[in-house]
Amino acid sequence: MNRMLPAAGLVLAFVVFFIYISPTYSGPVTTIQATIAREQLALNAAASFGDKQKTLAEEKNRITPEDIARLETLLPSSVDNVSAILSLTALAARSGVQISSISVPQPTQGAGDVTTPPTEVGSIDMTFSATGSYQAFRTFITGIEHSTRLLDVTNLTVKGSDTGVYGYDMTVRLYWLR
Amino acid sequence: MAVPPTVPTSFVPRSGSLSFKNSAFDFGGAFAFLGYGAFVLALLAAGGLFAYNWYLGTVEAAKQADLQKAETSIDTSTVESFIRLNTHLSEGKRLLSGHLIFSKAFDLIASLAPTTVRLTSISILTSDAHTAVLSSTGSAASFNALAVFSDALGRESQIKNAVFSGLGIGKNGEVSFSLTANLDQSLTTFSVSSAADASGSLPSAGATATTSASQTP
Repeated sequence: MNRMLPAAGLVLAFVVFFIYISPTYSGPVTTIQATIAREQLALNAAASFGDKQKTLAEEKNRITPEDIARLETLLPSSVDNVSAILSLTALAARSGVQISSISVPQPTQGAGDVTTPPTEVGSIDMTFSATGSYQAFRTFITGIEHSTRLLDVTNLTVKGSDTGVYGYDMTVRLYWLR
Repeated sequence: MAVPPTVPTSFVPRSGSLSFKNSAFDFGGAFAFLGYGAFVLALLAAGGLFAYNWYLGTVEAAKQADLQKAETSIDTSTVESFIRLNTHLSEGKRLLSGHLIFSKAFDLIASLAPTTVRLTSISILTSDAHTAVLSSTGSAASFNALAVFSDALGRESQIKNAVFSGLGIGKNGEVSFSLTANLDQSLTTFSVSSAADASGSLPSAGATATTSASQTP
């Protein structure tokens, strides 16, 4: 009988180890440890995010509202080609150029910058026909090039005449942030 | 007096094996120690593991609560405004670096063309790779005038592959021609220096145009 008790203790120890200790350690405990490690990583990321957000907010506050407005004018958040046409017409009038026709193509899906991989910038090409003196044309083209809204003259044809009034065909590309 | 043989003697001789028996290893005790020890250890380990598991559960719950608090403190609209502003700035910068300007090309052509050469049409077409091709037609007073123009174009590094074609002589000796050339990207794209030039060029743009008007259309 005295010899049976230690043997039973040994057997019970093995039973406890294999039935509870080993499965519990390799199962739930390891799982919880991994979960805690992931949550700690997420908490660290949240802390660094908070710091970054604070830094970015400070940097953003350093940009003046006027500069933000200029940026919005340079690259608006909508196509707004009507106001661009109005601006170009006004510029043409100031420059002494008469716009005879404006053509805006139907936008196509995915129309935009094809020079680079897909970006968040959309673009549309408008074609103009105009007449005027060369001096007026140069003033007009300089105005387009230095417009506060980014306008690219992508194609341009100047047709001469003996009257001093020339014909101009040009394609102007408008950009906007999608 | 003689002791009768039936009376048991009290003398028990010591055998030599007694000392051997005292120094022998107690297998029974060791086995008992091992058995009880293992059992106690197993119980302690199980208890410790149970407590550790419980502790981990509370830690996980606390961290989850902290995480939820951190998540709710994130303002998605603020984040989106940062992303939007960053995109705005980076895309604006990218587009400005490729901004097309043709004024410099007109100025350069006007400065290179002799007064005896007249361009009757000019066309500048750009591709999506920002390469610009100049096509022009015009007339020169003579072949010599055209040669001077051709030489000037050949020496200009920003105008490449200038090819005169379609040469013809008119009634009054004028030479008509067609010109095609590639314009260097530096001539047709925006740069900070050109912007600085332009900031003061608007008032003088008329003067430049007047000078060039004698050669260009």
